[in-house]
Amino acid sequence: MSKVKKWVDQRFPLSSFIKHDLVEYPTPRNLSYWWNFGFLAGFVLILQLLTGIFLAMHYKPDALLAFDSVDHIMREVNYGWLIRYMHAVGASAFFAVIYIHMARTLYYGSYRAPRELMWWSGQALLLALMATAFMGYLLPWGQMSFWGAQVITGLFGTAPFFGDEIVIWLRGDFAVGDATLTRFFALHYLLPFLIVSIVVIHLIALHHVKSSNPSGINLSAKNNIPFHPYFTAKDLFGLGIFLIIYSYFVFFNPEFLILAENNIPANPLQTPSQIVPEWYFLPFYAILRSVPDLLGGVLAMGLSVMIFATLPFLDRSKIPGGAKYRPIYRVMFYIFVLDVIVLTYVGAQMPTEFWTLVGRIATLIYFLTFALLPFLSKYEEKKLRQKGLPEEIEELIRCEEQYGRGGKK
Amino acid sequence: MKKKSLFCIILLFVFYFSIGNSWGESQEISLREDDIEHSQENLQNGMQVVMNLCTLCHDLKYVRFRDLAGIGLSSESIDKIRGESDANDSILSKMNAEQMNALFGATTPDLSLMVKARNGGAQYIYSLLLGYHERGDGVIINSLFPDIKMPDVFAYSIEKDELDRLTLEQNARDVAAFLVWTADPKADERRTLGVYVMIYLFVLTFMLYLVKKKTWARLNSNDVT
Ligand code: HEC
Repeated sequence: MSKVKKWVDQRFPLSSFIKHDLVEYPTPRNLSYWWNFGFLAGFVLILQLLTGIFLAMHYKPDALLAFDSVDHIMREVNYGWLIRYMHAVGASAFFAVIYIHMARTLYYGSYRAPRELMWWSGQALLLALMATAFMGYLLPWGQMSFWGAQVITGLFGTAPFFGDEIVIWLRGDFAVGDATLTRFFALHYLLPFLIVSIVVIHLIALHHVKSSNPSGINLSAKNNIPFHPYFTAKDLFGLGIFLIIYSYFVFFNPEFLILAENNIPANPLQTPSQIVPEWYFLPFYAILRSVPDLLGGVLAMGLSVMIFATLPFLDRSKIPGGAKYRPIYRVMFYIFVLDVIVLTYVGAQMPTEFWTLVGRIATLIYFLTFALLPFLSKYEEKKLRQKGLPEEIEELIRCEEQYGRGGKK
Repeated sequence: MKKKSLFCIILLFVFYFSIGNSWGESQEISLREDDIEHSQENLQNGMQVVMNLCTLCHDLKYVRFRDLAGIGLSSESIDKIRGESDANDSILSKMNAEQMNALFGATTPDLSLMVKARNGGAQYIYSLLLGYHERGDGVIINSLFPDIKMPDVFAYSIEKDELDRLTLEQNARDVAAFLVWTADPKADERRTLGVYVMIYLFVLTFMLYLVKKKTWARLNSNDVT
């Protein structure tokens, strides 16, 4: 065994990689359970890849066969029902975990220097995940699959000059049909591997800048502990909790997030009474519907997803640490989270006068939070420094001003 | 901090359950709330009614004759039910879509996934079948689905005898129960396996909790900001 190890190590840095990046990797000891979610996201990604590959062995990306082949998986394939429900519930679990992971990053301001590239690679991951989920949702070829894809691809028709051409190019046809299904399947299989490679970049960046921590200050060496066994133990316990919730849905409530309409085969001649996307798209869908002009709505929706990338520029405060030490930012954080929940709710409602109004107000608050951040964060910093910060923190800020953000002491 | 996080998670759950429910309720229909029983007897009675009545017009294309063993039928009884058809054949109506269209002006939807395909599920089927009644002017309409092209196949709206009405109501419940089974024949297997998985996960997670606690106890508790 040790001979093999030696042979490999002379040719590939396996042992040193395991030692540096898995076992001894220094991790702030004060990480709370909110820091579990990155690991969980990685776990769900692998779960989705594995279940997805097995589903692809039985699924048929053909408009005439797709719906039946899913039913074939549910009834005839050995444990096909388990694999399919794991994959379907897994998609929702993925978004739940990612949204919590993002909320943690927002609360603790972990997107600030020197972690901007982590944040931006995370933004790329979010986009790739959304694209993958959207295309995956077409595959069961139910009513909502079909009409959801029809509506969302149709949105590209608002693009100036080439709108119609873009829509046809996306669909491969004038309407969503067999061509669309086949290409969505191909891309749905491809994108996860792209996600894996972005995750690698995300992790390389992480291991360069190291984890942020609740205090927001780079801890001294003695407060960093080796990843193994402390965080392997903590992450695995978190994984256990996650699996309990996940399995509840897989085994006891698997159709909870599957709309009844999607158990009706796609019918291009019959529009469902209400077209709603999956829950994880609802906030953005609500923003789309809140803008009276369609092109404006599409732009607002695109902006609402992409705007996260601007946070490292918008947040101008030099106060280290999370929202705990930043009273104004903290209030903004909670308003924002509440606002997203309201938008999610509004996205699922019929667009009556009342819900449109609520949606518009919530949309306004959503963008105002970002627009006001540069001013409020600067103002907050001034106020806090006037009131007097602890000497170490003042020194940290001076140090950063001198050596550039993220400079090590 | 821990309490707060737990509270947040519970709040999120409540929130998503309420969303799920509001989707279900968005079709304002008043369903009859009677309890549908799912014993093998009920399923077999429901199957009889479906085979004799509903399959005149509707397919159950995702169910094969041999699958009926899943509700406890012996292979002899299945042979009797399938008649000329092969045990591996899907359960199909004798009429095709065009004939149905000519007769009723509507195509009949497949029934195998019907319970999953309507908000309200089994209650919806049950209420639909018993929703027929005679309007003042003698026209029979369905209170759940006024424009439905399906006739009152149980003749429930014109049945006056109390006892016969009770039988029809029982039949409607059993049909709903049987269609719950056809929509999700693996449900029992899934729940049984689920119980084992849950027990396993609870034990495992508890042990992981102990491991975590023990590992972290090794750190001397220097204060960390
Ligand atoms: C005489 C032919 C006939 C028979 C027998 C029949 N149906 Fe139907 N059924 C129809 C037709 C036609 C429709 C289409 C109605 C429409 O779309 O307006 C339909 C539609 C339905 C629907 C869908 C309603 C909806 O929400 O769209 C259900 C559920 C249903 N039938 C259940 C049953 C059950 C259960 C039985 C057996 C007890 C049965 N049917 C027997 C003709 C029939």
